[in-house]
Amino acid sequence: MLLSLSWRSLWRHRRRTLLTASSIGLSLALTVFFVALSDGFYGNLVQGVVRLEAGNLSVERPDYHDAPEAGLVVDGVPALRARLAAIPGVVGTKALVLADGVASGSSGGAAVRIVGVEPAVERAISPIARKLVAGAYLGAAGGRDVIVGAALARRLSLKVGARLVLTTGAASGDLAEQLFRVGGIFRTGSEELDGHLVQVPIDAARALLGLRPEQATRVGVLLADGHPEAAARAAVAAVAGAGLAVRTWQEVLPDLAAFIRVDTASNYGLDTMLLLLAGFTIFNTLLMSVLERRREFGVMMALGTTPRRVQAQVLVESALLAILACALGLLVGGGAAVLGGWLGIDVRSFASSGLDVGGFAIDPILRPHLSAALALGLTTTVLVAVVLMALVPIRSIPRIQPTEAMR
Amino acid sequence: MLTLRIALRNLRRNGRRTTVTATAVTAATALLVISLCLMDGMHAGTVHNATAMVAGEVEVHAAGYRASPRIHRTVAAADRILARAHQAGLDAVTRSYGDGLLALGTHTVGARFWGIDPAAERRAFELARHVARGAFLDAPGDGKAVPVVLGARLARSLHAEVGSEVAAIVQGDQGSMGSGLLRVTGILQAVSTEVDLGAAILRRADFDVLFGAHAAVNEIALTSHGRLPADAVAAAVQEVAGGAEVLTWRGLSPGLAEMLGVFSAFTWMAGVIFLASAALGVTNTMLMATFERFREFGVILALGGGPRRVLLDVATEALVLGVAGGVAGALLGLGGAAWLSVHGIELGGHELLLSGVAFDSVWRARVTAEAVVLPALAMGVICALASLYPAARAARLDPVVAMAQR
Amino acid sequence: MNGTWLIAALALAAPPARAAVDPQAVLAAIDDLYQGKTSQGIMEMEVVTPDWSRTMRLRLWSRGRDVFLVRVEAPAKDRGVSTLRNGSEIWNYLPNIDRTVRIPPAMLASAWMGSDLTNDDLVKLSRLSRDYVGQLTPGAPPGELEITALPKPDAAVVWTRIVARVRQGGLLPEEVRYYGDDGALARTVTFSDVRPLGGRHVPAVLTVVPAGKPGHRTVLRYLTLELDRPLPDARFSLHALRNP
Repeated sequence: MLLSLSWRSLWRHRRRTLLTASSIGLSLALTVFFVALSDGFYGNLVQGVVRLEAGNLSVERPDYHDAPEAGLVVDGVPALRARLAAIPGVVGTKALVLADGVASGSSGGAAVRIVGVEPAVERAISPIARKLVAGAYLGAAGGRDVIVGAALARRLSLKVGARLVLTTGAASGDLAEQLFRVGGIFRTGSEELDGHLVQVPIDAARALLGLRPEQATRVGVLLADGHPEAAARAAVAAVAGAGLAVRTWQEVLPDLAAFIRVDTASNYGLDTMLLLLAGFTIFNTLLMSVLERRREFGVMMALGTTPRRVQAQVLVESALLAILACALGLLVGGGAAVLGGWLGIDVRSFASSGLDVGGFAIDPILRPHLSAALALGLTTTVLVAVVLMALVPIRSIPRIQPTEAMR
Repeated sequence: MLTLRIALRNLRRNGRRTTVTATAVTAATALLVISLCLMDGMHAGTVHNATAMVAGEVEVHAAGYRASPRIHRTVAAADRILARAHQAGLDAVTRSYGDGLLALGTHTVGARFWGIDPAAERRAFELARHVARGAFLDAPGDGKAVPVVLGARLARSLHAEVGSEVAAIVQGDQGSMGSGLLRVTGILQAVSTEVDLGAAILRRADFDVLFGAHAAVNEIALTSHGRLPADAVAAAVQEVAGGAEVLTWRGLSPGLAEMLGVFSAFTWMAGVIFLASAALGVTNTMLMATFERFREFGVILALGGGPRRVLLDVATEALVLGVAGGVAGALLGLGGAAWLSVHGIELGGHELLLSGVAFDSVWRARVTAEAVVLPALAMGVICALASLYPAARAARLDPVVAMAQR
Repeated sequence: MNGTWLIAALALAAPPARAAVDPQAVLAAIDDLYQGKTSQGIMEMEVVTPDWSRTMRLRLWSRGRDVFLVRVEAPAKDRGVSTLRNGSEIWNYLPNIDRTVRIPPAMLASAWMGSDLTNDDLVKLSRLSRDYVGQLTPGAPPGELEITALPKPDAAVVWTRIVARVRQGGLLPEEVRYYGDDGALARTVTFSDVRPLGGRHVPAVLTVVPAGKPGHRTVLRYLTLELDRPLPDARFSLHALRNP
């Protein structure tokens, strides 16, 4: 009864309803789009980096972090990986062999970071595999092709097919060197990666360092999107045992973690400002719409409707309005975000080529990222806020004098 | 004058409505001012970080030095450039660079040695303030040991602490081999990837002894402390630079400049969204307030006031509201932004490096004339437009119909 | 900077295999030009660049191919600076600060003794006869041999081709050219001033000219050379590195 009365009342004042609805709806739409835009700004970055390096969690020897040496390796990698894969939330594992060394070509040498990777795993997840500018990605795990960055290739005048000798300290402490060939050249836009990273098939890296096939420097654990890292970390630590350390990507990559922390915090700041703006808009519109209806309320009360009843009707009207408006807002804002995410917002006119954060490349195409949780959270906030805000103007309804209102 | 008086009387009579609309304009303007100042502050902070630590707004190197940094590639016109910089009121420092190894115990690490003037460096840049442990080079020493300040990660990989004695082996000016013992007096906290990983900073005189060099100026870094645009700083020294390469920080670190470009793009979009949101608030409040007055307009029309009367009244009221709300909002926003420009928002990041440059994690607003005036103007104009549209419609109505409107 | 030539120059010994024009034997002869069980001698190294040039006098001791000690005798400023290579380890000794410094593998790309040579050159063990397969180049001028050597499939060497010109008869090299990836010349080593040295007749001067770096040149000149005189282990110890 009250519901249908409110519903009819809403449509009797079509213009006012549309204005209020558009205030609420568009405010929500703008907020949803903005939050999606800022989320998308670093969402891709985290994904890419986590996949590029060891994963969300990595298992390594405890002292490797502070004093990396080729001899500090994880043993029994296949068995460990099998046990890790059984942990809930783990979607993949990867083995890495890491070493610092020298890459020499016929026109000189340069200090490089040698990363032994499993080609089959990396091809699917590594951003580097997608950033090739020449050649092809690594083939077999035991192959002798390597992937080098564009800056390194330029410095050493390397082309696809060029001979490259990698020299490094082996696990035994001896100096080891081996011939490789450049199979592909990548460009991520990060000076650190493009100038220093050499990706080598993992078995070839093991052979270079004198490691056994079941050894690796680091075993990475990839978690399902949104899976809590803390819980997984405990489970991984239990599986890894006492002799190994489990590190989160935030520990392995503190620069990036700091950037994301700061960026998230600054986004919260802007989000708060925007929500305040939206709140004021909605509040003012609600206030105004009740204010301008004093005459109507006066008539209603003169005809015998109790003030409480009028208040209830206004509240229900606001709630109905909010539901309508939020549906509209979600549709517009969410639609824009999804569309933007799909097409990408190219800001290359502002940034011509490469950008990096703590050594990791940022895509100069902004892609808003809208998660269902975010959309629902914002919508619920606005819905509740509207009803709460409507409580303020209706407080004055009982004080309306029919005579005054009808002047 | 009469119109204004009528407008004021109208506004007073409808106290509630006036309060609500004025609040809408004021709040929207104030929030917009604060938001724009915060966004501007983020951008300015980034530029400040990029130029105030070490790099300067402009750097001068010998042609070809950046491609192949060799100690003998020096800036020939250094004296003239320094004199010109002094004339133009710019702070300038000269630096020398050379490569070598640092060793402590069984640890040997490659390092880039800097020869600097500690006092000038402290005047012009913030490097000296980023000593995390120990002291900078201008601290009084025992006069015997050669002091050196190390980057954080370099010190860590050497296992060096303040007070450690480290051996330096360098490739000298003419390819000779230089060596020396250095005493670590300070360890820098996050400055930049380059400094953290490899910088061993010496006083110029000590550098010259180690490298067998003679006041080789490999780099001149200039700063106006944000007073001038970087291009103007470059222009000031360009004509006396001879063949030397004069580059602004944008040219020196294109990666960072591009990063800022993306941030600007993001900020610009955010600004548009914020403006739209604020405009929405003012527009809807004004539209609603004016539409609800159709009855009143009908009365004016019926009493023979004529459409122009209605329009004029509404416009004047809106103008008064817009100006009052805009000014109040601008003042309120200015206050908020000024507070945020002093206190800032702690973003909780330490040792943050973007594109290899360390960043201050306190986010401060920056108050600019545009960020204050623009929102007030925009909100005022929007306020007027949003009331004129419904008023114009009302003015064309038959008084009887208008009076029947609810 | 992958310097087979420097190893050849720093190591010394056994008379070159004579007579038969077996390309592999020619490569081995170049490898063994200055090679003995042990060697000691004095060498002058002149580094020329467009911006500066300098000459150093070096004292050398070696045993086999991968153990050697080099000490700078002149100029006075660098006198006593020493480098010891023992297997895969490289150590430097700096007399004026009395410190011994180990050069880690990642530092191998840095320059050695301020020259255009890198530490990498000092430890690289590539040997022409071991890492390459040689073939006679047809149509060499009379009295000369030219060998074109291509790397064996897995040899850890960066050159794609090495061409050695040898004076027929004595099997003494005149010029060795090193080619890089795209088949372009990367550097040329010429051998000159054949004279009695260490009991044999060998070129006393090696000139290294990197291609594409005009004005750069490194000249190595043997002043004395003595082969096969027994040297004790202690000669190549860290103690010996510090104490001439």
